[in-house]
Amino acid sequence: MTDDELDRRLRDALRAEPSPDLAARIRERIATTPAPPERWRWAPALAGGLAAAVIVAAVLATRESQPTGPSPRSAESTRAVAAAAAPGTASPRASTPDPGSAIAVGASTRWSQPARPRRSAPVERALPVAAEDGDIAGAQVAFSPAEAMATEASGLTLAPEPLSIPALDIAPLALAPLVVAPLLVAPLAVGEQIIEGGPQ
Amino acid sequence: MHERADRLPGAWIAVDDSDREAFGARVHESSGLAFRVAYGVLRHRQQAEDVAQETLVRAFRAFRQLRDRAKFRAWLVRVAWRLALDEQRAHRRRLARDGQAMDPRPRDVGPDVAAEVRALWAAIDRLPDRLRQPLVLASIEGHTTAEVAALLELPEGTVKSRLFEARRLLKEWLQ
Repeated sequence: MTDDELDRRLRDALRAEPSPDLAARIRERIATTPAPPERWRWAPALAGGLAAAVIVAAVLATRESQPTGPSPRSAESTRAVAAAAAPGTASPRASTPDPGSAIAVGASTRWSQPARPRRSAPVERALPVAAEDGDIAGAQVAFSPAEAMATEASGLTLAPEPLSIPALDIAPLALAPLVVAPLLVAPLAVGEQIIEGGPQ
Repeated sequence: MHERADRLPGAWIAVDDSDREAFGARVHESSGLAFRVAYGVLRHRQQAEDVAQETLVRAFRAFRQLRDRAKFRAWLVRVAWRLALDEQRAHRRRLARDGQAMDPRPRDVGPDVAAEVRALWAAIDRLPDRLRQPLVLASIEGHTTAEVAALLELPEGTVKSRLFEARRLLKEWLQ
């Protein structure tokens, strides 16, 4: 059997014509079929909304994971490091802070054997701080875990003695009265040309 | 003889508020193509018309995404082929449930059909789907190899080799 003969037999076997009314029946059914939904018109809006929702959720999640206490790089933290770097310091283990001038909330025991802190939570350490008036409250200093570990690794320790901070003397600021000259406005004559920007 | 869609002027199908009218203008040629594809699988005129009708309704629903005429015809062939195979499997399940055997001859012709035609249909049924589909498409509407390749979205060389293999098997089984 040749290819041509096979093709002829195949064409004969597959030759078929639909009923004359097939197209009419299909048109009739399509006429009663609901129009296809225009899904592509609201798809960009949906994508934009989803993207905005993801961004908002990410921002909220980031804010919730941040510590609410003082910043590790706050002035108190800086003061604590400066105090620790003071000459003649010893280990805080030997110090017995005075309840009136320093605050110790059990952190001194943790100081000797610091537990590995959580990653995001600041570590509160007792810092014996005393001013001349002995009335500085809230001497707890918040360290970030990285700062605490770096401080311990560097061998810096806290001052055993209360830190003396002189009282700040601020002179009153004298302000001279401000004299404002009256503003003179001359009437505009008829026919006078207005120069933009005014006279130099 | 139907006018070939890919030889008609205009390579794009209009898609706007007159989608229904634009699609209706394509129904005649597309229904013929879908019917012949389905008939190549089912060999039953009424079932092939049902498949063609379902194929065209689905095509209408997806008309907005089928702007390119060539892609529309390729999509139509694939859907008609798949629906026809589904119908064929359902028919075989019904026959098996009723304890009957599948008759390879066209089911809407009488028992006086020539024996060689029945043998040819049986041989076509034995072909794997990847060989049967290009063979049927090449045997209807005078499709060339390039047109079959476009309909199946396959390389032309792949279609040529599959057609060669299909013909070789048919000749072997029919002798």
